[in-house]
Amino acid sequence: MKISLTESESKLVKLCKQGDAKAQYKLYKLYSKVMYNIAVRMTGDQSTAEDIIQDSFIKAFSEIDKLQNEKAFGGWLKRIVINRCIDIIRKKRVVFTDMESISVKHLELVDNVDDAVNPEIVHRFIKQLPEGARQILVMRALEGYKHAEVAEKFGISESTAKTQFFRAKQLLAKMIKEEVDETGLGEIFEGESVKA
Amino acid sequence: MKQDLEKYLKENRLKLDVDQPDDDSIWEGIRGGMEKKRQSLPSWFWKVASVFILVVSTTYVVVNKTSEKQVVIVTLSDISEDLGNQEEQLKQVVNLKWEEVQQQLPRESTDFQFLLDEMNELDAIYATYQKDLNKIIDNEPVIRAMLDYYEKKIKILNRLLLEIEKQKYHDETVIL
Repeated sequence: MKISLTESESKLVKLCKQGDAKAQYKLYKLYSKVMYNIAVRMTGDQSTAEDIIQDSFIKAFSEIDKLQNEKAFGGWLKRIVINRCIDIIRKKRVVFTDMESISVKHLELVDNVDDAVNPEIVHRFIKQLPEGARQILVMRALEGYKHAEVAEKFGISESTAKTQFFRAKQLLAKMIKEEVDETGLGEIFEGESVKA
Repeated sequence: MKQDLEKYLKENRLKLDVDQPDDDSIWEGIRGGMEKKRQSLPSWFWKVASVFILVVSTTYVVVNKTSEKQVVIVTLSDISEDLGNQEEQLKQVVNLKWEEVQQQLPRESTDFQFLLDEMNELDAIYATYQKDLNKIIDNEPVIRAMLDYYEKKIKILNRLLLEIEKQKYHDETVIL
């Protein structure tokens, strides 16, 4: 996801550098939802995500003087949030399994989804993915990190990162497929109501 | 229409942000945290303070050690001529006795070691008396203790001579 600022947002960052509390609040409101959802998907827990957002904004506002390019605020803040999430995840000692531990059943699955599937449902399923696989899927597929970067952040090999990403995609596709099979098309598709 | 999951996630990235944060409570936390940071002193202050404390304490230790070396040991003659004379006389007796002991002391002096140890202990005690005298000149109990030291030392030396004599006598008797 590319986060870019408009001219007025760039001004807000400049005002924040002068310690303007109103500008801080406006900037917070602009980014709170995006950052919160990243943290929720990374940690799988709303309460932890709230703590992470709080800590990250405090860090960002305290160190905003270090940010030379005002237009890069969003990307900079996102890195702070993700790094904080990784700190928490590392403390939980999440185990990243390698290719050998993935069952053949999973490997046989396809990772195609119907493009009309409601993103809300997908978001819900991402949160249900197992630890390790979930974070790698979020960082790689949603936040634009490369496999090598993901591996470095979690202190794992690049092949493990790739394996986990593959596994996460397979699981997510399976969950979506099962939901579609179970509930029918009505609830799962975006913008459509259940038809009797 | 079916599409690759990765492509789907990229295309619907923003639509995935469906959870709503509790903005009011989070913002309160941020404000509180910012206020705490404002009140707490910046990290550079603590760095400067720790360097300052280190410099001051190092200077104190260095000055203290140097000045300790420069302390002039006060003797009894510094207090009064009379006391100085008394000490000098006692010292002379001790030195004479000690010379005598050294002449007679056999190479294997293990039998007399306890007396020699006792003398060493006395010397150590005398050194502490000297320190006390440096702190408070004209400290009567200390002065008395210092003179007493010489007398005790003379007694030990006399005993040593006696023991050496006894040993000699014993050796001669056994040989005969």
